[in-house]
Amino acid sequence: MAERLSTRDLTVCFGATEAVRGVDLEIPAAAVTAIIGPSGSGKSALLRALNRMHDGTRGARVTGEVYLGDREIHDPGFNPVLLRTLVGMVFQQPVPFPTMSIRQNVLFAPRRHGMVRRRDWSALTEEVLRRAALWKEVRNRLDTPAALLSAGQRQRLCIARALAVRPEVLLMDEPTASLDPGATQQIEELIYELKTDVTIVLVTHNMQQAARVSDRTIFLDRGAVVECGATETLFTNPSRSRTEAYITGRFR
Amino acid sequence: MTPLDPTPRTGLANPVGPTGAAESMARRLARRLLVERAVWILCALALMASLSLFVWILGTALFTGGPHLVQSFTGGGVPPTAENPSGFGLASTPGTGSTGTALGFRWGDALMGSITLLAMALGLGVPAGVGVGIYMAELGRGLGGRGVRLICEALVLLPSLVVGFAVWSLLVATLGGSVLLAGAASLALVLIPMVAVTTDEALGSVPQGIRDGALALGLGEAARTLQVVFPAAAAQVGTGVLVASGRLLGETAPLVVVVAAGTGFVLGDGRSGVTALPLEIHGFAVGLLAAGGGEAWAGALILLAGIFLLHGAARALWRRRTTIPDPRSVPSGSPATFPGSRFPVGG
Repeated sequence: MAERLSTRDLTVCFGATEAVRGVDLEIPAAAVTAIIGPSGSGKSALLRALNRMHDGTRGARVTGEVYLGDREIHDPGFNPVLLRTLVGMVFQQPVPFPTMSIRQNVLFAPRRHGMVRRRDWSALTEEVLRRAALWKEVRNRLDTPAALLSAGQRQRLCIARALAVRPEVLLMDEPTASLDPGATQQIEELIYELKTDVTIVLVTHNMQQAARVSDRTIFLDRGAVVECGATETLFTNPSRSRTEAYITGRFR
Repeated sequence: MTPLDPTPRTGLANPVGPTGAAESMARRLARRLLVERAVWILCALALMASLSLFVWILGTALFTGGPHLVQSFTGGGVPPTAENPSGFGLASTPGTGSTGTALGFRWGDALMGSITLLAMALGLGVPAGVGVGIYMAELGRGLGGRGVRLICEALVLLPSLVVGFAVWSLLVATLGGSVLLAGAASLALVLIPMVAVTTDEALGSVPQGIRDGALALGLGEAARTLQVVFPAAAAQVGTGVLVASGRLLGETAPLVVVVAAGTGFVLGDGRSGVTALPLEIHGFAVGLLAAGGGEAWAGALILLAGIFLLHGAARALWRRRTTIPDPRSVPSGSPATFPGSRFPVGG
């Protein structure tokens, strides 16, 4: 189910600006990999390159290779729609589709891609909402508008929406940056539970969060990987002085 | 200690100077309070002036126009007179309109004409306007989109009289098209830039996270726009359309040109039978007919009622538009504002 990701010389340019410069990464399967780094270090640009989200962006150019398992995602035979169902994504803004009900949000992608039969709709809805730790709170109001949920619930619904197409990898771009501490904790617990069968890549500004939930951490600065390793090692015994400066808050 | 004495509240002894500082501060405070009161009074006067004008319009429409309206709907319409043998409004300028029915002109006909024109204009203009708006907001983000946006914003300001004349020249004078279609087309042309600008703004206020979410689920650009982004903005677009409809209902200039430029136009004549509320009001008001002011006010009353109705509907729809409740979650996009009376009012 969970699949590993790796990149070879991955570069992302926006116009003349190089946001990500020749990054080589190994992201292990069924684990949480955190990407940390200062603002503008290319964390989001790197993350979005992993499921070709830059495809529709004017002026964005991606070079290098990204492997999902053994398959190169830019391969002409690799349909980007299929890729995005295999590599799901959750964003900072907790915005489910506002005109749709909770149920419609969950079923939207699987129905559109013909991945679920009508008689399996309710089973899939329940399964996915349970995995996203949202079922107990919404089981009696599946048909109410998703916009009525709290911010934390909406973010878990976004996670459920991404899980509904049974991805192998889930990319999370600062998923708790606009949530309060309680909702943040729920999302972190959810990440911890999900990693058994989904590979998770987590971009975060919050180093405590990276230390709490991730197995491996990548420290990115100015578009390049400074250090990458087991989270515990990186936070307790960093090998590079810049990493140490960043995690101790003495960066620049 | 008087309330005007600031010294005890600051807790500082004479921050300005040793002598007379507190006294001068008290004087300045008193003067500021006086100015404040004067500004309040001026604002209240301005409010009363505009409000009383509005109340006068409403009252006159109600009391002068009301009886004519009741007679038009229950009795025999505007009675034929020597100057106005058929009893029609603008439709039958003496000398041309001799084919009217014995019942005379009824405001119901003008209302139906207005509704027909509005419906046709909406049918023509809304799809086009929404299409242009979607292009500006979603597809043409480059130079093309900016150009179209510039043109649309300029077209909103285009005098509707010019639009009406252009449409009449092309559709009626050159192609020999029907007057009804030309009227609807000129109203649609007034409508398109307004709807386009509203759609562009509505789509722009949809948070980026919703677009990203749809893209990340494997939706193409078309599906993302039509199934996710546009529905999220639909109520806001609808509000803009209703507000614009209110303006179209009273839009007179293009209709006067289109309908009256063709001479020999006659209401009830199957070939060219077009009339509308603003046309008839115009006709009565300029004193083409003996019926005069009372009838014009009757038309104005219907028009006002229609505009209030449309505006109320727009407000109701605006309240029902989809919003993401948590303001922190919508950092991107411009804050949504009610289209209100942002559009210039034509004549």
